[in-house]
Amino acid sequence: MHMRTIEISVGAFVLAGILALVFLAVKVSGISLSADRAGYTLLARFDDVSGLRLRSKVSMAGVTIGRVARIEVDMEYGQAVVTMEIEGDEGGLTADTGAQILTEGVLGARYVNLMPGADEEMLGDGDYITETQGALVLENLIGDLVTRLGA
Amino acid sequence: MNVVRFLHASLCLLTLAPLAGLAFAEDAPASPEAIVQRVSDDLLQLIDESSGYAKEDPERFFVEVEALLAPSVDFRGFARGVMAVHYKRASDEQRERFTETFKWGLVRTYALALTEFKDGELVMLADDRPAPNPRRKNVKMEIRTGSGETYPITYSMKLGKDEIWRLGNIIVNGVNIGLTYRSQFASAVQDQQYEGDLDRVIEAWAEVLEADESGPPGLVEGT
Amino acid sequence: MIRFVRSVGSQALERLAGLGRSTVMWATAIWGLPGPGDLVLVLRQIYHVGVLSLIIIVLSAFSIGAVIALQFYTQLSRFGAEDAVGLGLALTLLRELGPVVTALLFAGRAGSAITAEIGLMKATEQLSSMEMMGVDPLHRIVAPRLWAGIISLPLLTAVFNVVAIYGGVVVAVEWLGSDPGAFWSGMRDAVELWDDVGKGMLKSVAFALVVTWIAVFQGYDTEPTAEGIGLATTRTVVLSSVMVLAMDFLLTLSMYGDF
Repeated sequence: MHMRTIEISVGAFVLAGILALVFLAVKVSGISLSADRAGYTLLARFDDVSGLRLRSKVSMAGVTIGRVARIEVDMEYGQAVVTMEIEGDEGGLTADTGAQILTEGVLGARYVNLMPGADEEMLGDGDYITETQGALVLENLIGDLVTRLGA
Repeated sequence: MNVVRFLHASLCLLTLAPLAGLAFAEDAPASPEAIVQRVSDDLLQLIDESSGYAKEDPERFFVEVEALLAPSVDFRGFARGVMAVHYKRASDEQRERFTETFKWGLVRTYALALTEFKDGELVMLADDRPAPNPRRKNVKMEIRTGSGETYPITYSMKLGKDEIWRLGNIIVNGVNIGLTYRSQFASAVQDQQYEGDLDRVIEAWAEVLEADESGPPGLVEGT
Repeated sequence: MIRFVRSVGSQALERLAGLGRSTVMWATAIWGLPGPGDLVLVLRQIYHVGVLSLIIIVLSAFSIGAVIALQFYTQLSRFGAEDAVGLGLALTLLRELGPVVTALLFAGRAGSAITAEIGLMKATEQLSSMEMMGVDPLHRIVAPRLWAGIISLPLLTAVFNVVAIYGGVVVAVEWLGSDPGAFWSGMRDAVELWDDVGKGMLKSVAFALVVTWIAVFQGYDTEPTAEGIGLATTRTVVLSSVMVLAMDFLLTLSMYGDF
């Protein structure tokens, strides 16, 4: 077996392996290759965050605009404090933006849904979202509420 | 009796405070807790007094409830939160119309539940912790029914520019009512059948509630 | 009765001795990190061990990916959840099937070949003549194969995963009509770079160490007879497979455990 052939084929093999790894990283796990885009942090307090995990998505109108970066407990108030990394520049969301924890898909993955409000003021880096709706509870009562409103 | 409806009825608990305030001419604005407490007491009184005619003449009862609520509930702000992004593109007339529709919807839907509020008590939970924002305060209450059930309810009070505390949102049993309505309004605007026409959505909101109960006085012509 | 206990005991002791010998061999071989001159040797071994295994890996991957996708689709559609085929397939492959199946196939194809090769060298006295010439067989024969295995298996696992996913795409999207958007976005949302891809690769590195070690040692330690070589290759495959599966269970427990 000629040395040259061996070298070429090994090189090709290793390249294929590395490309496969890159493919898995990018296409399959969805890591973005572009440099870290500008982002800012928002926080929110919830009464119940059951099922929400780190890196759960934060979305608005169905589009993912961020990820959950941290989930902590505020012992004093008995609430969960969720830290979210939002893409883009601050000032895109109104100060009365609402945050709900909803369930998605058959496997029931939790995510944070943001609903913009009508305030003139906007949320800045590190601001708290004041209008929140925790998980689970909504499911218990939404059916009831919806029936009430006939919607 | 439906729990949620019953709990919404507590909106009506904010009533006579402004009247009482005028009578006693206090210089400092009454604290949100004081307002809520006073209103709870006054409302229980109203329920007693109206028990005679509430069922037979609901229209009258609705009007009385609305009159009591109007000074202490920021219906406009509430409606604004419900319209959310659409508020900006709505005309002043549309905003006014929706506020009225929304207000009467709430009053009509939940006022009757009040009349069934017997043998229950409304307990305020003390909360001396400093609020991060001095112009907002969440007042936590607990409704204990005669049958022994307990439901948490939080009044989101906001200090208006006129230095009077008003109700801006309520959270019943963990459900953020303002956000829930906001979500429904947004869905309605997205809905094919209304084609994003705000007038039609506002009208539909009224119809939906109208179909539920008898119409509130003045809504049909007043629109 | 006593004889039974004695035989069990001596077998146990024999196994322990074997483990001891193999550890010494392993340590000695690894210590002799291949210098630039030995790169040629490693390269050659990567060819034999990695490149030549590609065919079987690719073919198996495609079939397995297709079959898994088919099964997932069938079961999920009962709940109206066909959109989850992508993520089910990806997670299953990345976390478990990719590393494990690749390692098993590797043990069967490359592992047994290594054992046979080395065993043959031992049987034909090549190893001892090398020693006599002052060439360290551990350095020249064993170490390159060890490194080749450690490098090749993870790469093969990555290729396996990719091909298997495509096998799944062909079945679920092209044939069964699952929505490609949902397939890929569901996958992307559920797959974590470190948690799934990373840990799967970590597993395959661990498997690579174990399989290659077993393969090399069995060859090195075999009875220098034709029969002995045959037994050794069989032992390689069996022992590798058992170890891979057992380790997989333990690794999964420790990596994903929250039970």
